[in-house]
Amino acid sequence: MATSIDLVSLERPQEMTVNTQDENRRPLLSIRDMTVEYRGRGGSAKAVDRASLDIFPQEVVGLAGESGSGKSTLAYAACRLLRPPAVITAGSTIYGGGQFSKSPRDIFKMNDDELTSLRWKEIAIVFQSAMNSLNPVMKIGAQLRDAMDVHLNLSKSQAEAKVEEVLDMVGIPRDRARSYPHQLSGGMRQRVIIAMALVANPKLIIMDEPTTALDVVLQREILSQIVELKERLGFAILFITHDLSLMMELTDRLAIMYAGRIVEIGETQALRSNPLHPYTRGLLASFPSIRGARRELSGIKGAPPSPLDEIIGCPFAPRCSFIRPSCSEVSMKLEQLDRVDPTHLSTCPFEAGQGDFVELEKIKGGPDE
Amino acid sequence: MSSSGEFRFNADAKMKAAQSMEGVKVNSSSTGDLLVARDIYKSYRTSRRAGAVVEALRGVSLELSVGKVVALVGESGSGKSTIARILAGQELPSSGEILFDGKVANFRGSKNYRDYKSKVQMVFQDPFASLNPIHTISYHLSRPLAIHDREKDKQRALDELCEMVRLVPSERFLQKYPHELSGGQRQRAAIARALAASPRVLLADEPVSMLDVSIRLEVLNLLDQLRSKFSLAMLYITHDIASARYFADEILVMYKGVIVERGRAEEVTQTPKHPYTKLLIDSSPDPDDLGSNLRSSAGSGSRDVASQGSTDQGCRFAPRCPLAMDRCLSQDPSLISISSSRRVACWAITDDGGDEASVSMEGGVRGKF
Repeated sequence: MATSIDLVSLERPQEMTVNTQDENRRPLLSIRDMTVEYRGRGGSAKAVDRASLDIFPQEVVGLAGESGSGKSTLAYAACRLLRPPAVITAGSTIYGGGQFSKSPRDIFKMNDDELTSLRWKEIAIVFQSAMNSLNPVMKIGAQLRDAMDVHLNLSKSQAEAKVEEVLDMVGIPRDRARSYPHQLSGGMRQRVIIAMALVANPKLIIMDEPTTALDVVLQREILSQIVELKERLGFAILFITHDLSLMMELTDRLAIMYAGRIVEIGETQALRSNPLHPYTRGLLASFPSIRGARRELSGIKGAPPSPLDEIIGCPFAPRCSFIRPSCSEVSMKLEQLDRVDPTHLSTCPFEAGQGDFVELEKIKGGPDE
Repeated sequence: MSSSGEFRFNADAKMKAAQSMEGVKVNSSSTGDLLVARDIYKSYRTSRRAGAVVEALRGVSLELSVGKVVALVGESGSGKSTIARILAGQELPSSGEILFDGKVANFRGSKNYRDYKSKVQMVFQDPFASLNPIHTISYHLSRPLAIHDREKDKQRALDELCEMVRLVPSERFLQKYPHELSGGQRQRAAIARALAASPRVLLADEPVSMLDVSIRLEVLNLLDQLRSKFSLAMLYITHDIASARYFADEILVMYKGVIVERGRAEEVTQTPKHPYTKLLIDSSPDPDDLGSNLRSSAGSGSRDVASQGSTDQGCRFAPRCPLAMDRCLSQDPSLISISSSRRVACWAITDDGGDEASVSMEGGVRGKF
């Protein structure tokens, strides 16, 4: 790993300074320079490397990347949900600000009580394949009440009413509260999990591949229900997924992760129409389209690096069709390349030109070849 | 079919190929058919009570022909994998027959079964589960060579197999264990294992759905090259109809144990006739859909989960169908030709002119479900 650039990375990206000036647009959750390592006998594997991400109130942010790119690790680390062998070696998560709390707080400085009151009431999580992790010997209603017992102080009748309320929200008949998980279809179980995330009316819901195991018809039904609830209840969503095509339809902003780093971030439409990082371009050219003219699919050669490998410069370079000698000196800092859009950032210092990447010297003084 | 070579996904080449396919087999008795399923029924008993059965397949007929890819598309539980297992001889149908090269396939007795298996091989969805973690790749490839009497000059055969699926240099991969390989490499090894029997038919059950988006295209390209190199007849099972559009020659759409529509890949995806095919296509993620109904819930309305219900009589899709008529609830429609290459099982299409019905549904299907 390149150690010489650690100091540089401490500078805040432009996005941050612009937004903190505007009180109403202060981020709900601000992840700064998060670095996570998994330590084992074989050495330490850097799963996330200096990743920063802001989520604003009521916003839908997508975190996309291949398996092993560190997207789940980043989200779990930000909420202090990781256990050894995962070690957070650097970074912070600031929660709050704006209208939601008195002052922004660092999640890593909270004590256990504060953490308990943050979890579920402020930030809820829909875990990966959670629909298969419902307790098979407990009725749905009892499992929903369990979540309330820990986080809310409700009487028995209030809790009963709340169970019915959240089941209504996700479109499950109330009498299903007396069903066991195996009596429900996969789609219904996924809805129960979403209902569980809603019990305490959180400001942010992190959804880790919430619909991956479902077929496309069901997937769209559940996602449009989530969007409807988001508009009604006003929570923000961080979506973790490998399905970029779905994210394009759903999110306001997108962050693309590769080998533990966020390599590109921006408004979803900007990312779609003007992808800056070659990896993003490769991903966009990887999935077949169902509508419109058939387009040529190029895909991406090779496979992502092992997290145990020491990476110098850009981790995508070995698979990149625009590789050049200076790729080994790239600082992997998110920079503005798009002259007009200050929110669209990429770690690749080369600009997408006609069929080739042209080095941009004016905005960033890139290293000489 | 003229296209092949390095880039079959090239749009122009494929379009030309599609045009030159005009009038390609529709008729199951045409000469190229290698593996034919004729009117297959399969039911499973769900409990000891008499009559408690699930009808997984209700009269499925399909033909796989030399050098062609047939895609089987449908939601989970539609019977896609059941027909694959029956075609592979791993399960016997309740009624109906399998014909290989014009003769009724005989699975009785280990010699017959082995003979059949040497011609019809399967590739499974999950390369993490389909390879034995305690054996090397070399072992996985040696077993089918031994079973199918191809052990002469074994080392050369192993090297050739690795070469075929581009696990090169072969000596680097043969001694590895599955856990030492990436998902894409593991699936290549699983494909090599299927090829070790030197089959004429390859049944691929969701061969890329467990792989990362950037790897999928490579594996599909590989399967495509193997298809043309060895004139394999291929069945491609998927729930991703967009990939079927690019990869397959013909698409069969399944719903609850029957084929509801079949035709050339481009036709089925661009001018779907059956309401279920339309629903599938409308539910597929569309990265270019900037006005997606997932971005705002306007007009999506609340959804009725009970719409997933089914009937035991008539068209199984009727409870979800916007075109459902009285007749649909009592009589099961059969697959009827509407053009030389197209068949649909829907009363609304086959009864009173397909075009009228499809015009009246234009653009509105997504909202209605």
